[in-house]
Amino acid sequence: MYIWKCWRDSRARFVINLILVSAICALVIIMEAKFGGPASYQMGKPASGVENMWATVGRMVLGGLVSLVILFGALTFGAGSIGEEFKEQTLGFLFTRPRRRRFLVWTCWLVGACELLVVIFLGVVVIFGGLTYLSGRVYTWRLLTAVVPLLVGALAVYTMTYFMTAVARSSEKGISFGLGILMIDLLLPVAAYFWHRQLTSIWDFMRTGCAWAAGSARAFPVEQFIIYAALTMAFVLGAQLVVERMEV
Amino acid sequence: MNELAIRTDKLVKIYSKLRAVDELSLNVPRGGIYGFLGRNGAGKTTTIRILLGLARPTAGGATVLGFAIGREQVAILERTGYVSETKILYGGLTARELVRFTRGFYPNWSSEAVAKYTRTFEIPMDRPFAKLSLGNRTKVCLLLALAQKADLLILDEPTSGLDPVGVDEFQRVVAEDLAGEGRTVLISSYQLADIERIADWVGLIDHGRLLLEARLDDIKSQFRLITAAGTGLPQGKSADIVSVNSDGDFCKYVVRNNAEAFAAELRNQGATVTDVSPLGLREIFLELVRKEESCTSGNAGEIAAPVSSSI
Amino acid sequence: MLLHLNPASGVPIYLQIENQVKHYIAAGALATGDALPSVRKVASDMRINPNTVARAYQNLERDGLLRSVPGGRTYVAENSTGLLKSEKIRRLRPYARQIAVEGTQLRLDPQEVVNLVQQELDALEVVDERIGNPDR
Repeated sequence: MYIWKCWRDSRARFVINLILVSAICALVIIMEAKFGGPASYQMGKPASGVENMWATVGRMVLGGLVSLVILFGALTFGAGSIGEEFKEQTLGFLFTRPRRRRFLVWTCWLVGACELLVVIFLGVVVIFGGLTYLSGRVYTWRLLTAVVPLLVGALAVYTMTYFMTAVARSSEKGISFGLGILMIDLLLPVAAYFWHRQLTSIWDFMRTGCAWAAGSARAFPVEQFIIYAALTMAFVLGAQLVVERMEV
Repeated sequence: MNELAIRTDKLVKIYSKLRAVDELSLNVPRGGIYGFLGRNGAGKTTTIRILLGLARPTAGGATVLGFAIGREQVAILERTGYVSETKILYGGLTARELVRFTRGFYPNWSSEAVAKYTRTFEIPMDRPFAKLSLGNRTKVCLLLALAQKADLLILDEPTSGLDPVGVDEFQRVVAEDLAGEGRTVLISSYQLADIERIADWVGLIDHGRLLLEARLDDIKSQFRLITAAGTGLPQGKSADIVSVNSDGDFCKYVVRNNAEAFAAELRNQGATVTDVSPLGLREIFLELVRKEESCTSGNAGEIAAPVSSSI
Repeated sequence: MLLHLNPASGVPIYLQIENQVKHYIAAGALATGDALPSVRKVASDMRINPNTVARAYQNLERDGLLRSVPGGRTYVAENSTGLLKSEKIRRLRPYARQIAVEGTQLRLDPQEVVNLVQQELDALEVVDERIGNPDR
């Protein structure tokens, strides 16, 4: 029953993100088709000559704008799902139902995670379909595995915001904190560049993962994958602990 | 299976220096209706929230239906229906959807009860909860709690916003469906008149402490207002004397026990005992919680005339 | 049987019920063999606790005024049988004492007190006749 409630609350957010991500994916494909890849030039030169053109396209198209949109979408998921309960002050009702609080935390989280999965999958399918159509042949199936780095990145941001919302007991504060941390993570490498240091952000991870999926010779960023996956788990367990100890 | 539906053991709850609950040891027997009384801020709602797992005690413990709070909270919640003081449910859902949401949690859920109480209370089932009046919101909360067919009902201000017809229907439901069915009902309220007609037991709490816990019938047969005239009448309180109000040679005593013996003692001292009368719950409540005021002039401190409310 | 209860009065509800039933029986409004409404009905109609009603009925049964069929209704008993005269006098004495004490406190003449009681007895008989009960 709670699953139904979580789904009902997140319906609007899910549909908006679904349309937004798919639309942007379609848009980028159309731009590639019309202008022969302005994205390639705007995003900088391809990393190495070993990468094929498709890898470049994969990285630029997926890793760039689409990843960002997914990340910001994940923020809204994280703040909205559990934030709904705080906004309505209905925790007094929810917590007096005969369910362990951890069940409620995980259920709410899982519903959002599944929705993110669907959004991302559809976006990748749109890209895949678009590139297949443009190139006149079936694109490498490996592109579909771009779902993995995108999802892991999205889940990390989603869960981090979910945790922040639980701690702050408010979706507004949750999304603010989440946004703040995300911006720091995205901009720190830029700042570090000026000090000749190298830092990677979650965005880099998603783009690299997508490049690999698109067929580049670059290795899959396993280390970062593990780190972000572990962070995700830590945040959801943290949210569970916070909620279990909460006084209403 | 023990005899008590709820037992708290020196329960303490401190909110940054405020002792909201102060070594409270409640005993709520199974199968009866327990009136949990107290002023605003006396600690009733805090106690209830602790029993339901919404708050954790600073010290002490409690068992509900034999299960320990905290550790076995889910077992408690499976068997307990609850109407909270703030009648807040999901604003976007209608009553019908709320029923659908809630029934999934309870195997004993009774759809017949839903149909019956929807009719009895005339609940609008298809309007969003946030758009309902307070009275209707209270009714929806009652509906959800009653349809659970729980062993224990904890109702915090269950008549909030109900008009007299609604209150009457609620009383009928309690009298007909809840009392004498083996279910335990704890009603927290300051609507003393409502409690007075239906409660088996009464527990009176003030500043987080239990002032009185007894059968309502016993309270009524033991508390007495003794009016006496004479000189040199005793002025001090004792274990049995709750309050003394004197005006010249007249004195009014509120006694919680052994009224006849005390009256006889006064007569032996030569005083004229003009009246030994029983007290309603409202007077008893006021006497026990009112702050001590020493007044010996005029009408100050005089107990207000009991308001008799016929049905 | 119409009850008029005042929950806010200091008198416990079960006592109020007992007194009113006794009054009805004394006045002849309830005759031997008449069935009383069930505990559940009284509780529901009056919006009071069934335990309270049950207690009143049980007390009256203990006093010999009512008798109940196991699992069934409660009826007015023949209160002349089963109660010895000495028992009845013993039952009534505390009330007589109460009247005597009150009357003295209020500085009434003893004869005035006796007249008062007689008036009340006469009033009951009038009610009796109106209802048409030849004996009670």
